[in-house]
Amino acid sequence: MSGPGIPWYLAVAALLFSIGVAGVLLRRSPLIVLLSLEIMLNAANLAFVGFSRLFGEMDGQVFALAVMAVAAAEVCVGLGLIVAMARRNLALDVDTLTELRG
Amino acid sequence: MVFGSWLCLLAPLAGFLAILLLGTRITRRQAGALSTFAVFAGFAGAVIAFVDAWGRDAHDRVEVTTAWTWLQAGDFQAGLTLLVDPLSLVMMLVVTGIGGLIVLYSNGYMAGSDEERRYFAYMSFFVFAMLMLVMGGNLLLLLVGWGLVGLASYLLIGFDHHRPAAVAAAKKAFVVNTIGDAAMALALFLAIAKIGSLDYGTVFSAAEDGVLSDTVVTLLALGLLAGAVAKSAQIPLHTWLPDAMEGPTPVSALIHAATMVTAGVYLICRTHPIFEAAPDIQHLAALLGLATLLVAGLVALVQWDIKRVIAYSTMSQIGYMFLGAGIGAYGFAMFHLVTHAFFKALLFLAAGLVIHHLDGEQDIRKMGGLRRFMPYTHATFLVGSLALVGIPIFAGFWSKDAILASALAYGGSLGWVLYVGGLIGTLLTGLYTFRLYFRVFHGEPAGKAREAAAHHGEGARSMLVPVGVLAVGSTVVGLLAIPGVWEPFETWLEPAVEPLVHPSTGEEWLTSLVAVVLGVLGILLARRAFTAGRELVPDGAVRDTLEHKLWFDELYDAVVSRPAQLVALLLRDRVEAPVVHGGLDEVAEGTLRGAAITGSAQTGLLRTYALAFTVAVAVLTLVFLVTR
Amino acid sequence: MIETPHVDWLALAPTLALLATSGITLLGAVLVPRAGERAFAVVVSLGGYLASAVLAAVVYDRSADASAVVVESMTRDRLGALAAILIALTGLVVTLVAAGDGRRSHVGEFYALLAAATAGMVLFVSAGNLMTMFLALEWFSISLYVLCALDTHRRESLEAGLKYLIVGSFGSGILLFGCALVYGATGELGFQAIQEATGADDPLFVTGMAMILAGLAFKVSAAPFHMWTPDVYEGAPTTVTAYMSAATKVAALVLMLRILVTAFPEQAEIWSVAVAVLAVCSLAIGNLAAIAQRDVKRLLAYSSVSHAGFLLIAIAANNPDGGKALLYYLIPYSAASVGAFAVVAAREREQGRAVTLDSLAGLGWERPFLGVCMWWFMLSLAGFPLTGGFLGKLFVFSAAYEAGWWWLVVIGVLATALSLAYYLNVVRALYMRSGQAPATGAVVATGGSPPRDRLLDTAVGAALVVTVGSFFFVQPLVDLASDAVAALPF
Repeated sequence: MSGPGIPWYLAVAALLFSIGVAGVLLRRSPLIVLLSLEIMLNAANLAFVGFSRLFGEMDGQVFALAVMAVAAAEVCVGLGLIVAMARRNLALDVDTLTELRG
Repeated sequence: MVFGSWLCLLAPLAGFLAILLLGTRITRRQAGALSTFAVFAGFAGAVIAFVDAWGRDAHDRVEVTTAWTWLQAGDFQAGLTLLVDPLSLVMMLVVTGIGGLIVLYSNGYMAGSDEERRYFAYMSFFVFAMLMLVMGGNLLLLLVGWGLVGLASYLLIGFDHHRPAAVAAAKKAFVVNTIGDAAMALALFLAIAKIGSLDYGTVFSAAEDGVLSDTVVTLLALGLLAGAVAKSAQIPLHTWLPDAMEGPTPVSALIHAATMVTAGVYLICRTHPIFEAAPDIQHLAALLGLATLLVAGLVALVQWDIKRVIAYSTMSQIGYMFLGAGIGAYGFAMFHLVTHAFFKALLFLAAGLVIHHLDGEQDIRKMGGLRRFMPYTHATFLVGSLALVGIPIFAGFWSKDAILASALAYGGSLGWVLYVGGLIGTLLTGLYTFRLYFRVFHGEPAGKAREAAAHHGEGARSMLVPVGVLAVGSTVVGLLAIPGVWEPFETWLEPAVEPLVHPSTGEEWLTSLVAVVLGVLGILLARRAFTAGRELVPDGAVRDTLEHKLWFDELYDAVVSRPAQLVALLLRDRVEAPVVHGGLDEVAEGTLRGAAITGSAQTGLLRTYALAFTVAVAVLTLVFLVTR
Repeated sequence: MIETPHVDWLALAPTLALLATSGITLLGAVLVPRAGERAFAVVVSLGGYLASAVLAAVVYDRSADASAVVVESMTRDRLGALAAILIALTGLVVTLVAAGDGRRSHVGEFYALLAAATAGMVLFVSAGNLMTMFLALEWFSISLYVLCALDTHRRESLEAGLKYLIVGSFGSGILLFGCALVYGATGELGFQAIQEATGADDPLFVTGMAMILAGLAFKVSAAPFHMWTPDVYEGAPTTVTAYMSAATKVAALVLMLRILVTAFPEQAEIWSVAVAVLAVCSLAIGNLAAIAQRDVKRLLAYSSVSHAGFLLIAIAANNPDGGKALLYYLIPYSAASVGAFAVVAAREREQGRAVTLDSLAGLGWERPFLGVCMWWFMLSLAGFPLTGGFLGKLFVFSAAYEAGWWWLVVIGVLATALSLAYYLNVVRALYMRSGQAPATGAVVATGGSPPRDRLLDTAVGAALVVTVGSFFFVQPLVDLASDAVAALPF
């Protein structure tokens, strides 16, 4: 049994990646931005797994597994930061982060 | 010789570091004393080296000491190499000798002002940097010194950082000098790329042997010339010098008259083989010198600020030196550099006495009649003025005329243009110098002068002594080169820099005669104008009678003074203000505007950062895809 | 029995030493009584960095020939070892600076994270395939995100942390997607294998390469990927800024050089132009923006952008001289940068507020030693002679000239001239009289750290020695650098 060809995997990965980028660019809530970043990483994962199957090698899949761990760590730090900001009653809106500029 | 030269170089550095590191642990007065001592110790070192060299055979007077070679990449090597030869010895003596006097003078001048420590630290640093420039044994060290003196100059012009004008002037000096420095750095880079060395000997022999293409030599010379022109305030990079007068007066005397601004002349003399290999550029140097000496002389006629008049006169005199160096009269250019260092430092320091006496007044319209209250200052200033105009026995007479005689001897249309232009410059020198002199010292004392006289002496002893020494120097130092009779200065320099032209004794005396006549004429004209100006104003009746008597003056006025003034004004308003000034200001302004725009692009908005990122990635990807 | 790959423990030793340091410090934060927490963490960290540097030196000594180790995920060569030494020593100096920072909370965590970030960077510079590269990158990046936000009581610190996290993760996402594309185009992850498998004009491959380049340029803070730099540098704790400005730059640039010349040599014509353009952008934007700054940390941040430009010129040259110039340049640059931020940190502790050009006034008189050091750091960053920065620029320009990039040389020289304007502004500010009352009173009032901090002085002194020493002892350093570069297939 064979599924769709590699171009389809790549197309979905690219679409996911674009959705992630658009999310970072357009959304103002840091939570959603983090979520979008995750989507970007997972788009790459999809591509890795797809290519790995194409070449019949395991290294792409191992890479994808490792990326998942990294993504989890990244989100942890992100959420921790958001909590710290919420505790200080700072607005959870990336557009208000303009103390540092110039 | 080796010991002396190291002492000379390191003593000011030690002084600088000591003041900096001791910080507030010494009093301001001690900082001044320390600085003075350090610079005079440097002078002692220079004298030791000089005496040693003097005792040697003429062709044995070059000493190259490499303390340390720290880089040896292929053929390219760089190290701490000092070159002590007759040329650098002259500069060492001038820098430390006159520098020491000026630092001594500063002790009195700066007393009571804030931040004396900073001042003396900078001054010692400057002397060190200048010595590095003149003693460096390769172009790399020359560039080191070149950069460091620029730094010192920048710091000292902006010394009084509470005055916006001073800060602006410092910035302007900096911007203009940067243009020259960048050009020079590029030239040196070219030398590394094409010759593989920055060693004087290697570079010179490469230039002389013709292994380099004409373009390379020309670019090399052009880069060096640009550096020299910027540092020496020659047209078209001259506008910073008058503004630099915002610095304290002793700074003007040391950096912007006696030493740093003449570094360009030293550079041309030092690297003369490169310029000789690119004669067009060398002639360009001479022509720029001529243009500067005329323009500066004319502009000086209409200035009201005592220091600015002297500043323009400095530009004009350096113009003579460029003229001399540009036709290969290196010895005379250097000689004029030396005498100029004496009498210009003298004029500045004497002007400093006046300014000090009048509590900071610099406008010559508010001066006058100071002869009565400041006899000592008057006498010394007069000596300086006479030397500047080139009246016999005073120093300027011998040196300036020698340069003009060389132009005559050089011949050809270029020589004649330079000769005639230079002579006109002599007339202008007489005019503006004595306009200043009469305005300040003669006539009725203005209000301020009268007030000040009541409760001021002429100045502290530490200020009067250096002025006296410089006055004596301005009188006798010219005797080091009496054409056809006694020419120790030229013989001294000849092994280091062989001049291209040798004016005959006859040419020299002839030129002197003409130049002195023109100079005296200038003085007389200035005197007449001054006398007339003074009597015309107060009384209507007297004025009428005088008007009839003064047809002469009006004729002069119409023929010489008025057009000259007109041209001068025109030059100031039309050329200097918008073109040169404006151009550079616009460059600076554009830079600042660019800075503001870049700053405002940084909105702090996170999403714009991500957007910029995305766009850049997209562009990068597209370009990669297209060009693959 | 499961077959396990051969592990070259020596190649991993510098990283492992730091990882152990990080773990011990973290344990210390829990187990050691509060009074001794700082001393314990500092001592352990210093030992760890020193051990790591020494181990890296051993690796350097024993790796005359480059070899791929640990299933080709790492390269053991002199390039990585030299960079590791530099990074570990940066960590050492920063630890000295941080020792007196008066931090009351998260003391152990700070040092643990610093050691962890250093460990990540040390691994990063030796990465031999895309996976190691990405993992090590995230390893040190995540540590740095936390470090930036560690001063949770300061709003700026949190803002800097979150900004860095979001933009940084965005960059990593793009880098990762680029890796995926390159993997898809070649079927390989190892740098060497990619080079061998490459189809030079495969669109997938080229797109991936562009994205990888962008991700690394972000870490280098090259314009136009630099926009996070000033904000993060300003907001982060000053010691962290000092660390980032030096160590991150070393790591990212060395790896950029490595991946470009080992994995993508066939596409050199494309990327060298792109790198040159990035260099010009960085020079222009960094220098222009720096002129307008009053905040010293921001000024130095833009200065680091402009230095990224100079360093990228060396990479764009794409020849052994360029690599040599890059490695040499990084030495005085790191020293001067860490030193300058250390002086800023000292001033900040003294006054208890952000350091601007105005508040820097008078430092030269109140703290003569720091003043003299700062002035040399500025001169070195500006590329004044008598400092290592001068020779660094000289080497970079010669390399670029050799590669035929003469217009880059001209732009570089002009940028140097322009940069003098703001560096000298700092020097001038140092010796101005401060506008307010003498600082002796201010120290007590703001309750800052003790006026004299011997460890910080030591750190600054060490930075000065390197800054000036790299000019006078240039020959051995250049030899080290050229041996290191010999590992690359130019």
